[in-house]
Amino acid sequence: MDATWGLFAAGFRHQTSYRFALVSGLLTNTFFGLVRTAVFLAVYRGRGEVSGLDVADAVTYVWILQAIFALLWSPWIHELPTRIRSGEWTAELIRPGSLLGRHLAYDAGRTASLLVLRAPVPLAFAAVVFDLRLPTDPVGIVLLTLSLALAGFAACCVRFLIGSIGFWTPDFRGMFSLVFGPLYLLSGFVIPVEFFPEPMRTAATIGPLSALLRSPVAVAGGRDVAVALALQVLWIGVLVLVCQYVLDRATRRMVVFGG
Amino acid sequence: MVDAIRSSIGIGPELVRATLRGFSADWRLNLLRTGGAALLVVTEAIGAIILLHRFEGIGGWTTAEVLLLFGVADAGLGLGMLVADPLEPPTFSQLLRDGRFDQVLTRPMSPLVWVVATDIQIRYVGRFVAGAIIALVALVTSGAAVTPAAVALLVLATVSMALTVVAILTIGAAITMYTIEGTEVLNAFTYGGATMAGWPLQIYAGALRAVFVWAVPVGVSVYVPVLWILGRDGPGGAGRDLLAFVPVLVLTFCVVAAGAWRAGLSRYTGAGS
Repeated sequence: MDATWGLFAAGFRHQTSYRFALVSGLLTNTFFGLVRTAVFLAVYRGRGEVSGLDVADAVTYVWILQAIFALLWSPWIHELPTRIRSGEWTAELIRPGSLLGRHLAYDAGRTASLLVLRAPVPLAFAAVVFDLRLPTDPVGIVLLTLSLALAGFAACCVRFLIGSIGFWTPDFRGMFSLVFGPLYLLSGFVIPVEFFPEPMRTAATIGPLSALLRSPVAVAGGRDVAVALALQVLWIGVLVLVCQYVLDRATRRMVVFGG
Repeated sequence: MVDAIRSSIGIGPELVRATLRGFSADWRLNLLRTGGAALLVVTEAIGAIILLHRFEGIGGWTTAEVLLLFGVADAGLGLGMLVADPLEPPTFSQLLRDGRFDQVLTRPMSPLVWVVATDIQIRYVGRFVAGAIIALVALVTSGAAVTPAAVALLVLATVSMALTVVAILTIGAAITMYTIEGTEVLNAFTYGGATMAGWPLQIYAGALRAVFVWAVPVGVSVYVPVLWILGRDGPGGAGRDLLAFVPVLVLTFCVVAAGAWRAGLSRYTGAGS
């Protein structure tokens, strides 16, 4: 447990060292948020609810998305497959304890650092400038923070699964570029999943990818909070099991290149 | 300077050919990444189509009309990135820190041509082709007259967008010569600019619109030619009467970028590598 906590803390510190990148990332997030907000304000002009969302829900969706975009599609997503390809990863096999546990603890630490440093600024900016639907009571704020943290951890698992493509092919970049588009769309990073036609809508609302963005947006807006949080916990459990299964398979078949 | 440009005209295409030959060795990976780049554009288009279907258009524009903007913006971004990706801050910063740029400066040719020609990322062809196909399908389904003039306007919009993207990244590279560390903030103008130009300009607040018309001509490059194709007037401050200004604004921006690059070069003192 001490080791897990130590790795988490090390991951957290690792990520705080890129201050220049932090500021420019925040500015870029904010710009994309302004463009997306303009799109939703324009389509909602003269309309009330569409597919169960009103304009405040849609704008809240935009800024939750901007707040956690970097958490989910983190700049270090290429590190795991790069380390597998270089052979560096083999050192992990001789370290004590759970391999997956160590990996996820370190990644969770880096993600938590982005959650603390990168998420609050766009949200606070938007809360001042636009009409958002964010919780104002302490319980609501705690639940939203919890949901964002769960989304971050679910993202660590998804990242591990995507990165483990590296166990099967050294040309992981090609496969990466094929999975990102569909993943963005299905996890709701292009438009809110509520606008999808059925049965795509139901699959994206309650499926595993809902843990990344749909659930925190629902918790922020106070819609089905308990269900959203329960789904996140459930899917994280499933994702961890799948990660362990993939890792076991990969370790058994891994061929170490001369590196 | 003149000698450097003259010799680059001979060597530039040769370097490009050599770089392209390198792709055949790794053609499977490059094909996958090109397909992936196209797929990313297509999934974004699907998102836009679903949204516009739910809301029956945006600001009085139909789905096909918006997709015309979207396709042209992405085709222009793809074309621009195909040329200027090596100038992207992270890549260019690495070139400086490795000391490889210092070697380039000793060669009797334009360093800009060398940097661009020796590191072409073929995957951006995927973005360009996907954007171009979306634009052409949107043009036909929008009900606008498909005339030679309309096609010429599409080409003007795509090339203007591409030139603006190249100029933005050239300015970014010039800044990187001072800061050495690259910055992600340029993405707001390249990828962010293309995202913005993919929607009708009238939906943006005046200040945001003005910046992308008069300062960084991403918005005006795509929007104004498309207004003519669709026979629309556009809002005040970004209307169809700006068409003659599009080449002027884009070329002025390119001249500014070239000036920034030269200023960067003359101050550049190495990265201590």
